[in-house]
Amino acid sequence: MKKTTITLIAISIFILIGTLGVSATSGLTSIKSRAEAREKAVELRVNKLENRLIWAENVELRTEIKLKLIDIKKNEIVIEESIKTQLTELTATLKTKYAALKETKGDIKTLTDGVKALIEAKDWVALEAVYERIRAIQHERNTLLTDINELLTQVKDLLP
Amino acid sequence: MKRKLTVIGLTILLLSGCGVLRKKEPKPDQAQTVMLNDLSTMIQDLGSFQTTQDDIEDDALLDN
Repeated sequence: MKKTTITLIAISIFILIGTLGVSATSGLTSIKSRAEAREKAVELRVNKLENRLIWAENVELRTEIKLKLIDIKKNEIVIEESIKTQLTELTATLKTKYAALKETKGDIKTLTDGVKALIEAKDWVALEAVYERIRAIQHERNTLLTDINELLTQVKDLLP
Repeated sequence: MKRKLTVIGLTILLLSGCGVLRKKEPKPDQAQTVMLNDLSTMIQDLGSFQTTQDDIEDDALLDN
């Protein structure tokens, strides 16, 4: 009788330790996943800020170009042939870059719609995966916008 | 002879006043107009993209 009781107690302890171990490991994994998702969220915030800065520069360039265009039209300024050719090429490249930029429109919103549900469900692994996809779109946009700003700078410098 | 020169001089003066002899300033050609319109449209398109651009909302970021 005593032997059976001891065996039962030993088995129970063994099972308990096993369960606690699994639970602790799962808890650690969850903390790690959450930390990774958090890290990615910080990256998204930085990208968002960077995007605003690039747009600020873009606004400035657009304003300068707009003013020059108004002046050219108003004063009927004739642009040199070689400059005209360069400007035509730059405009064509700008169109291509803009088309690529436009392709990303709405993609982040679509992904963001499911994010809040993932946070509520504490599904950190899925959340990090969505964050990563958003990060890729942000990165693509910022790269394209930087290229566009470089092209606009060239346009601005070429316009009389 | 003097009168002849005066007549010629007056004629030249009159013609240049009418713009006949005045050197015409070149006008922007069609290609330039098209190119500048294209550029202008591009500038406007960028502006509308900026105002409607989607990005992740702050409350969807876990670091809040």
